[in-house]
Amino acid sequence: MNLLSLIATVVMASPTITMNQDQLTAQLGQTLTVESVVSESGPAIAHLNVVSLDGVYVDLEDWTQDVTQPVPAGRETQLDWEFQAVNPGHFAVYVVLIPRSGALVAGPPVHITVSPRQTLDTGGALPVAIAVPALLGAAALIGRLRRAARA
Amino acid sequence: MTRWTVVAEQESRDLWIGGRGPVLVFGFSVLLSAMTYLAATNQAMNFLEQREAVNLTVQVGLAVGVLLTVVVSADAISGERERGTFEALLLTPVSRRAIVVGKLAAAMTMWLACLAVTLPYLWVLGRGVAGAGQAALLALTVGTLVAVGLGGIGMLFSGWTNSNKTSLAGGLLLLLVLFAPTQLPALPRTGFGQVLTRINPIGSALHYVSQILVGRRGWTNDLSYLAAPVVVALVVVAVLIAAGPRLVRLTAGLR
Repeated sequence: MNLLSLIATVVMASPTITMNQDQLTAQLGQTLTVESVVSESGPAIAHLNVVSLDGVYVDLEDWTQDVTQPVPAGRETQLDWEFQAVNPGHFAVYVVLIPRSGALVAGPPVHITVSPRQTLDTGGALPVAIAVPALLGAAALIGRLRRAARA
Repeated sequence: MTRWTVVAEQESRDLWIGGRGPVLVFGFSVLLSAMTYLAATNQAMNFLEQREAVNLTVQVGLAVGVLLTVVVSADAISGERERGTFEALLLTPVSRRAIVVGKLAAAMTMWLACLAVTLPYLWVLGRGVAGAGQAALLALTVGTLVAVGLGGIGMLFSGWTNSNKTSLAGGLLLLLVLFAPTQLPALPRTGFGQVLTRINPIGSALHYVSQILVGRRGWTNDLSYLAAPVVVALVVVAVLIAAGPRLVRLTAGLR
């Protein structure tokens, strides 16, 4: 660590992260937006993370395409995070600040409850899966029989 | 009615009333039924995977629909030569260009039928994720471009050969060569892979569809991926119209 960064670390107040809400409820597939404010930070990178509280595997890429945002040096920087709830269950979404030097700073978690939504089921698919080939097969058969009768 | 529409109407009637069109479409629907049922029985399917199921259905519908269009178009001229029915067609008072365009239009009815069959499956899989309408529109626009281009190439093969087997084999081999790279998962991420995807009319079309249906990108974000299908469709139709009189002959060859 050089002298300047040492002075900067001592002089500058440690950065903090605040979120605009602490609890959210959503339906599966719903797009949500949370807002975070990074205060008293030097240049850094903010990273969004999603953790399942039920032990379900979370693929962050499925939830959001923009998981990192640059944070310029300044008193307050507002960052908006948009993500889609792609798994049902209980989750915590939080922002981590990665400064150029020094320790990571984690923000408070936003607890999200995602209720399941059953849109695809065997009962719904079966009539179409049977009816379409049955109709087309019947049409093909009737066409052949009529041609054979005419010949 | 213009001359090519008369040919198209007669060829369509031959395909759908007396021909193998209904049987091919029936087989196509059985394939989509099996796929849809398997997707619907997957209890662990989450929201994102449902969009992927819609995307998979569009991709299979597009690939198999284009395959069937190529099968029909590759039979259009060489098949008539083999069956000995071409002479009667050549004696009709329509230009050779009208015959080529009419036959291509009739082959396109196979693609449109496949598209119509795909719609109920898209509706079942896309319910609740607002993906069915978008997927249907994508299949119609992107799929029609690919079907015109590759169906036209199938017809060129058909005009160049006397044997139906040769033209069918040529068309199917071309489809295989174009479809195989789309199954390589890492291909679009490399520089060479990007070029290969963009120049491949099937690869670029499927990539474009995936970006919209799964990646939820806008229709205009990856529009450059449609360059290959558009260019192939335009060039092939232009070549078919220009070379129509040379293609529509009793025997294939340069003579």
